[in-house]
Amino acid sequence: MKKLFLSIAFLVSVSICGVAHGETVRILSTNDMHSAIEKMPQLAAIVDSIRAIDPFLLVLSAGDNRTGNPYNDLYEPSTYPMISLMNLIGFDASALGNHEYDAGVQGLAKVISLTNFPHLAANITCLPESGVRVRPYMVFDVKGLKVGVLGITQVGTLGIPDTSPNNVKGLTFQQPEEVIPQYKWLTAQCDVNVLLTHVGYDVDIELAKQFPYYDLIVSGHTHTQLEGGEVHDGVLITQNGYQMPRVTLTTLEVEGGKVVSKKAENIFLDKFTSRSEAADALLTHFKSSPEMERVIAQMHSDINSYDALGVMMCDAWKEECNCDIALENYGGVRYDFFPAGPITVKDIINLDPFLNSPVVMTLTGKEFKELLIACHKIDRNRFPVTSGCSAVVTYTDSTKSSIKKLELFDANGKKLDMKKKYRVVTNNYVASTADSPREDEGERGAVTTSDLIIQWLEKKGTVDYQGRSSFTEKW
Amino acid sequence: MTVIVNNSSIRIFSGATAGDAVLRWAVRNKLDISKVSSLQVTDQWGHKIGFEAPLSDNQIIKVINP
Repeated sequence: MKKLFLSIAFLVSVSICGVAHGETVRILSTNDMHSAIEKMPQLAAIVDSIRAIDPFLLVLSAGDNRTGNPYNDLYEPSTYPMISLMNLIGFDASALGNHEYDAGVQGLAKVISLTNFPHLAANITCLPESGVRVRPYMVFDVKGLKVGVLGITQVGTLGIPDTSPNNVKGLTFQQPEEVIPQYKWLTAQCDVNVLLTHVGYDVDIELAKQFPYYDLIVSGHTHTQLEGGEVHDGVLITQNGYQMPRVTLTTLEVEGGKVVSKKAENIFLDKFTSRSEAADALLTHFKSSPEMERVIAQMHSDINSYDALGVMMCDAWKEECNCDIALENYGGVRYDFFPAGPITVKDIINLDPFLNSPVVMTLTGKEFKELLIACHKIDRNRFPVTSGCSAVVTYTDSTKSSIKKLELFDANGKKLDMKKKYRVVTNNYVASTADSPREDEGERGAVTTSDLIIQWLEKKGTVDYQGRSSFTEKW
Repeated sequence: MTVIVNNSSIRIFSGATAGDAVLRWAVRNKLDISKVSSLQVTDQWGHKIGFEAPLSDNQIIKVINP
């Protein structure tokens, strides 16, 4: 550890000694932290180490600070642990990633109200009643130099960030290339110009081409792991994977109001064993969150099979996604026993622990049948669990490896219409691996499948699935 | 949407991640999907990306063995 601290000190001190007439601007940047609260004590220690040498260090996040860890995302208020840790570390600004909208406009407004640092996005317009307060840019005073940071949020093909349209009601978005030229005046006033973006590495390359008067793009969204940084059209671009495998220390040398040299180096978090005690204390507090022990419903009687718990999961997905049918791979059900009594948030996280998302598709009865057969094959000959549809499956022998006959029945017990179209929900694992012929591949939702079960159970209050199954097997 | 995995065109649900596309590619190429997590994925420029990386329509990715 001592060696690593000394190497960080060396990185910083070399430039202190090396510049005779100019000034040095240092930026430590992260992106796509995705609720990696466990790594924040190490990040805090890194920031403290650099600030001990350069108190003017700017700490920036390129967005997607949340979504990826139930201890953070299910906390009330949502993502409060991450925000608290970012406040403690002293982040100077964050871009708005597409996942910042996952808790809806009200959730985003709440998060922003709790932060000690601004969220930056020049290409978003917020109606006053949305409560979302976002700044387009910030100008930081670093040793007398003006460092301008312009934020840009991701805009997908639908003209909104990649999240549910319901999550961005009251917000409007513009494409980055339409907005950035409007801030050229700002770049003329600043000594150092930074784009803090959450648009993806490929888009950032295009932005560098179109707007080469920026010195640095702190990039996020595509989880691209760059080795330090890359220069495109004179613009340095940095980005570091998913959930902070590394952070980037960018050093900009400024002389006569211009950046004369720039370099970006990675610091590997796993190799930095020093931890901030204050951040560790906060982390311990958040990890013992009573939210995970919160009782959301009651199980009426003991459940003794994977089938019954699978049917319960499918019922939840089907109803929460307004579908006719739900389908879960058998291997996706992690318990075969659940006692009568209280069901907690943690129980559901353990029952459906993969952070999968729902995928909703419109399938004919025939396409759905093909999906079931493909799912059985890929799931080591285990027949999937369903809701809104039951099955009688006849195998050629006891190995269950080959289906001889498959009869499907709708919720009313009638034979499933092979030509009728049904709205079907499954998880992204099944939608990826069950490679059956279908017209509609569907769309992935912006929540996790466990979130759907929690929401559904909270509405139900008490559930009883003893002895339930969605299929009968014969051979 | 369509993504290109190792020069193969893969149709997959919108909002798919790199991991989703690699799983579909592995199934189509009759690979053991339980071993997919040991594969490495890069973007079209050869930069490593995670399985959680979001993809966009017509994006090119490559799967390499570690």
